[in-house]
Amino acid sequence: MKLDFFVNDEAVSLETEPQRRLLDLLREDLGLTGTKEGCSEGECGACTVLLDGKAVHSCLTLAAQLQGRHVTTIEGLEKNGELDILQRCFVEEIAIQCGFCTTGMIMSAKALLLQNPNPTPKEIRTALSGNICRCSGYVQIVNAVSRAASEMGGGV
Amino acid sequence: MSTCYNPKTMDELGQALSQLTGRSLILAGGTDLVLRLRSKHLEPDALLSLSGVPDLQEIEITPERASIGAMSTMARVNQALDGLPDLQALADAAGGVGSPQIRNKGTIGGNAANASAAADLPPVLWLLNAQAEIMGPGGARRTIPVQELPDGHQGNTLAVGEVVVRFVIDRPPLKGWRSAFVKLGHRSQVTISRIGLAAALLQEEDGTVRDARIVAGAIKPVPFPLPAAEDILRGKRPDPALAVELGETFKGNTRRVYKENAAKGVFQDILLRFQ
Ligand SMILES: Cc1cc2nc3c(=O)[nH]c(=O)nc-3n(C[C@H](O)[C@H](O)[C@H](O)COP(=O)(O)OP(=O)(O)OC[C@H]3O[C@@H](n4cnc5c(N)ncnc54)[C@H](O)[C@@H]3O)c2cc1C
Repeated sequence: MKLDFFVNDEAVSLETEPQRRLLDLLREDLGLTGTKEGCSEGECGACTVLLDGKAVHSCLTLAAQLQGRHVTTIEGLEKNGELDILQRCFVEEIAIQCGFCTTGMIMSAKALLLQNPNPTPKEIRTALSGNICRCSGYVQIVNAVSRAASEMGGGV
Repeated sequence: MSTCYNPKTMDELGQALSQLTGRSLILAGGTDLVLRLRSKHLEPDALLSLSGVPDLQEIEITPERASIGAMSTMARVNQALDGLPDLQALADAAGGVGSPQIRNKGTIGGNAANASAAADLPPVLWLLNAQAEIMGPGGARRTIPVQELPDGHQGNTLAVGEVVVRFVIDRPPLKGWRSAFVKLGHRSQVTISRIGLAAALLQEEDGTVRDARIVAGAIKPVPFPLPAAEDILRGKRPDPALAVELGETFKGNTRRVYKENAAKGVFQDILLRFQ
């Protein structure tokens, strides 16, 4: 099928199989390897991207579902060479150990802050409930999101 | 290479449905189907994606009825119904499905059509006596009670080339009722139900239960009503102390002893919702 959609605000046109996963389109066809493949079953959240502004699993999304839609990946957060506040807060709060879950975590957090700029710690935990970190724990991650919210003008 | 149908209107959907065979697949949010496609290495002759038809995503709530397009995501169902006392159980169930990512993609139609025994929305759709409106090849329509959607073997009764278009709940019979859904899983979030309990109560001003309806899910292949529990509740206040007696009504319905015991806790949780 011919697929026309948007990735990080750029129009993309591809000849692809309708059953090809968004995850593979991103990583293999478009070279956007920031999105990670973890469980491939919608459990771990490592492959989370935004679809029309909402957090979804790129491993459970097929080309057949993407016509005309807007996908945002971790690569789309940086603007004019500057990290997104969320990215910077993850670095500064040391909310990263091995880093494999990080891009998915940040995309879930991004979706939350787009919808709710002033989340409570509980709302942050719910927003991240579909993202698993197996290194450390979630305290620094929740702190990083809280801090990003307050720096963006929300505040927890 | 399989053909992909991406209809944008109901008319185009009707035409696409005429092209489907027993080897074709219908794709809604994909949260169940993509896993099945991959684990079973399915090679459909055609893939019909419902994502591009805006009509299928419509949610319309009036005092007379709730009409919920089959492609409404769990997140949208939760948002649209939360706070409406008679329909609260549906908001609860949709809001408790999987994770945010799953709720942003998984649809009410997919949850019901997939007909997994553990699915959260079917017991609520049964409780509220929802009707499923179906479209077939060429756009032909028919309507069935949701109770007739599952085939009893974790599949559905839809014919080749049929899709659920929307669910319709008649609201006048629910006037004055309040409903709730609670589930038991291994953890509090992102968990598959071991028990799902949907209840609707019609209460007097002092809380006394005038009438009750209870439907259990995740126990048998399809949801089932618990008339014995409804009898216990009628004429009483929904006191959590009734949970033990109510839980006993699970006896004989499940082979898993832990579920018989756990049902008491689930009843307690749901009674607290009606205080
Ligand atoms: C990590 C994870 C957690 C989950 N947690 C839960 C949970 O807590 N509770 C729960 O109930 N479920 C859960 N699920 C299951 C799943 O998300 C839901 O069943 C979801 O609602 C399915 O909808 P979908 O739109 O993704 O369906 P799809 O995967 O697109 O389709 C499922 C099936 O239904 C058919 N179908 C879909 N729409 C229609 C239609 N309109 N007409 C006819 N047939 C149709 C498809 O052909 C397919 O056979 C979970 C899944 C995952 C991966």
